[in-house]
Amino acid sequence: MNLKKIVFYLVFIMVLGSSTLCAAVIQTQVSNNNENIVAELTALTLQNNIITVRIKIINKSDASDKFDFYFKDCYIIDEANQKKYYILKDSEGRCIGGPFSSDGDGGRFEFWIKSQNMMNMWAKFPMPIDNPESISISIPGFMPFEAIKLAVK
Amino acid sequence: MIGFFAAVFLFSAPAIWAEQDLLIPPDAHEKAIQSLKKLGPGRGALKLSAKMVRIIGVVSAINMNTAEIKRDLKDLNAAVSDTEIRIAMAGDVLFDFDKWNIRQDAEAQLKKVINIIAASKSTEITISGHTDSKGSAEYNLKLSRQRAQAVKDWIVKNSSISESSVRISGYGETRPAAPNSKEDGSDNPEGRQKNRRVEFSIKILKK
Repeated sequence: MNLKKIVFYLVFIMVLGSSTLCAAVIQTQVSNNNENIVAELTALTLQNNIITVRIKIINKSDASDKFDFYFKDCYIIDEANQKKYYILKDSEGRCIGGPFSSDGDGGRFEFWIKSQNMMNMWAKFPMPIDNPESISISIPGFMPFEAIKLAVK
Repeated sequence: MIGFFAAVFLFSAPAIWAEQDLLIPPDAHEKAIQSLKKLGPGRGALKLSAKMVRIIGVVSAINMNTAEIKRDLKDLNAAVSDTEIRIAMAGDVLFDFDKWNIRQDAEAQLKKVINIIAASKSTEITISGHTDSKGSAEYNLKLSRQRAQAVKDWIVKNSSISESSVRISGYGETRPAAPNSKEDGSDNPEGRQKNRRVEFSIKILKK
């Protein structure tokens, strides 16, 4: 195999690799106290009047960092109609989200994320009753995701 | 050769971009549907006032320089630095003697605190309770904690401020703002009044 072919395949693999490994990001927000810690809203779906969000927490700093919050403190805001909706809970009082580090108080997110590493989380909320075009999403420890358009799945 | 380069690329890619599995349990959506049904037609909606909406920063134009916020800071005699806003509120304004439920008269003052937190967009708020030296140290410590907790509960209930953003502490009589007695040993009611207080520390977000 000559050098041109090697270079071609190498570029092909890099393009393919980068496109599959990098998920789309709807909005990025920074941590309240460290600009090198960010949360990316990677997906928002609406189905059966339930909003499901997926968020990627990324530690871009040079050190490991711990993230901890209770899922019960996650909520969305319908700013147009000035209403607030907390995360949904199952029949046993557990928040419908994850991952949990422990079940206490409806579910806790308490994980260390190494430097230059990330962790995903998800949560389900009620669709606001007034069917707004957009919402804000609040996850403890981060600035809120604002004016997020709702897309029906 | 190709396999070698592929392996080099995949293993040398920064871990930050490595997609981790995010497995949502298959029954999660069904649980959510049941939860939604249980909430009824209102879906658990909580009505916000305009001021509450500001708290999570939805109204991004809000800042510390508005006339309203300047007035609130002045009314509360707040100490503002680059990193923190400190407010001390008299215990006699907030609570009746020996009680820890918020007096109705105090609500206007607490709403000003909410406005300031909203404008600062802070999520690191500490509420600390303090008492004078009347009564036992143990009792005062407990009362100061109950009062700090009551203020926190009121603020969280009446705003969009996250419960996890607010910490409380009770110091009892251990951190007086003024002497509880005069030099001659007699009672100092003015000093004791200053000591009965709740303090707010609102950390300002680093930019």
